[in-house]
Amino acid sequence: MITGAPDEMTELFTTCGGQLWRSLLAASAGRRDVADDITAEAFSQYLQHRDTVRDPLAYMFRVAYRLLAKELAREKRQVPQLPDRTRATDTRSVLSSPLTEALRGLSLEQRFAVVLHYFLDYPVSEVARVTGSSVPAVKVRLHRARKQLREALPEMEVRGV
Amino acid sequence: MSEWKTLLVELEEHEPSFALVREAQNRASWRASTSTPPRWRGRLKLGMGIAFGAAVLAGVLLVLALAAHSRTSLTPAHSGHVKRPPVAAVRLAVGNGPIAVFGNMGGIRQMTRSGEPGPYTVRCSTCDSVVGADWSGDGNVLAYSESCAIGGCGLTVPSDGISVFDSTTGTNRLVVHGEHLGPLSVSADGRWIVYADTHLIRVAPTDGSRTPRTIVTSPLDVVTTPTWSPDGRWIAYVQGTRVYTSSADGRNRAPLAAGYAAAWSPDGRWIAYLGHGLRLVAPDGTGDHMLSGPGLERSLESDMGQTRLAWSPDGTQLALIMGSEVVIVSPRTGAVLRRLTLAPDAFWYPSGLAWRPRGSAR
Repeated sequence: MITGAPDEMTELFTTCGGQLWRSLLAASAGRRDVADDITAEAFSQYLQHRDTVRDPLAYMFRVAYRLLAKELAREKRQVPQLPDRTRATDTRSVLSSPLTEALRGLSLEQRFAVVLHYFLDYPVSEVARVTGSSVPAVKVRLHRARKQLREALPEMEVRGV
Repeated sequence: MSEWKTLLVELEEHEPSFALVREAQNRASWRASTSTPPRWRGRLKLGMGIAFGAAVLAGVLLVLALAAHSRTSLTPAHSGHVKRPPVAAVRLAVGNGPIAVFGNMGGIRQMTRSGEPGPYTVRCSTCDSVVGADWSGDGNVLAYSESCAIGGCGLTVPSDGISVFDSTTGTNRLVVHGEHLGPLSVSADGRWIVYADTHLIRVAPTDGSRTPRTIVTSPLDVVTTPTWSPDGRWIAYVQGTRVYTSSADGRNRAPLAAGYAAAWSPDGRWIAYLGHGLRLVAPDGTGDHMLSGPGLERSLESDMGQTRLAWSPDGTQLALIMGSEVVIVSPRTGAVLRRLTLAPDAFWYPSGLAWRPRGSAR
């Protein structure tokens, strides 16, 4: 049975789990169920390959990014067959409605760029590497995401948080 | 940059659960126990790649050929990316035996036609509650899950599991040990049990010869009412508030409809479920419709999500258990055919029903 040393797993989850999980929460526009599922999957894949992984967080981010892209694409395909899916998705968000709507207005690539750059302080070059993109493309995504978020969250600016 | 601060502040308010570590370990262990030896992996991947490429090419050619031949558009249910179970047409040569209810009455108890409690089919030895039961297609094998709730003030002492009653020999055997096991379904050939285990759907042989195998994992939503297709190749189940189908090994998982309490008809044509009323949908996702016969709306008025469904073995009737009432409905017209009220003096809280086949096997 693969368990990893309990202390090692606990420490890894304490140091990386929160960052990864919150990034997924933001990238999935507040979907706790998606963040839970993909965090568990990313950790399980790390457990399986930890002998060959040098940077656990970067590895798990790459795994999570790929899984989230697949999951959201799968859900998107199913929307026409399930008319109430959109409503169900909205109600599952644990974030506030304005923020959820603002995040849903961004593409997945934009959300990930925002999360990695502004939440985890990754440099643009690293964001490009993790997401398999180029530096100019990431810069464009961040610029557009910033603009969209600013337009979508004016009342939060007033709040001055 | 207040928009980033807004995001960060709100994200910091949420915490992941440490239970995810355990879930990750379970998944990794499951994969490790089913992985292929490394030296074969390269060859296997190459072979699978070639086979996949050939299959994709053949599929594309086939679709093009069919589209050109029929000149008709594919229906939505068939044009999706997920594989769905086919709509079978099983010929049934079996009659309807007695209906039995189970719940807190200390076993599985037959009902008389007037709703009076009849003889026990199975009487629990130590536990007081049966939470799931189903007969095999020939009516010889009955599997049931027991749940014990001994103690008070919320203290439960579970010592339960799934037992199989063989009516040909009159013997009972515990085949799955486990706590809080839920509703179950026995395959038509009587060889397999699929059962709900809170967040898991598992499959176990009725002879207890193998350990149960997990085929569906749902870390967040509770899964319930798994039900076999008549050919034993597919299952339908409820995850959260949605009905899903998947192949018997857990692959090809696909959402079918929003609802709960799924039951696959013995002839394979329909899956009955509850979602804004009693509904039928074909296993491939087509033909979703609500049954709305005389008296049925009144029967569903008090539904609080506790209703359970069971098809008659000949597939011509559908039974719902609601509160202390069993309602028999025609799946063709939606009309209420019979209504059995359980004896009011009995402190029965039935949680489901099992309809025994009578006569020759299918």
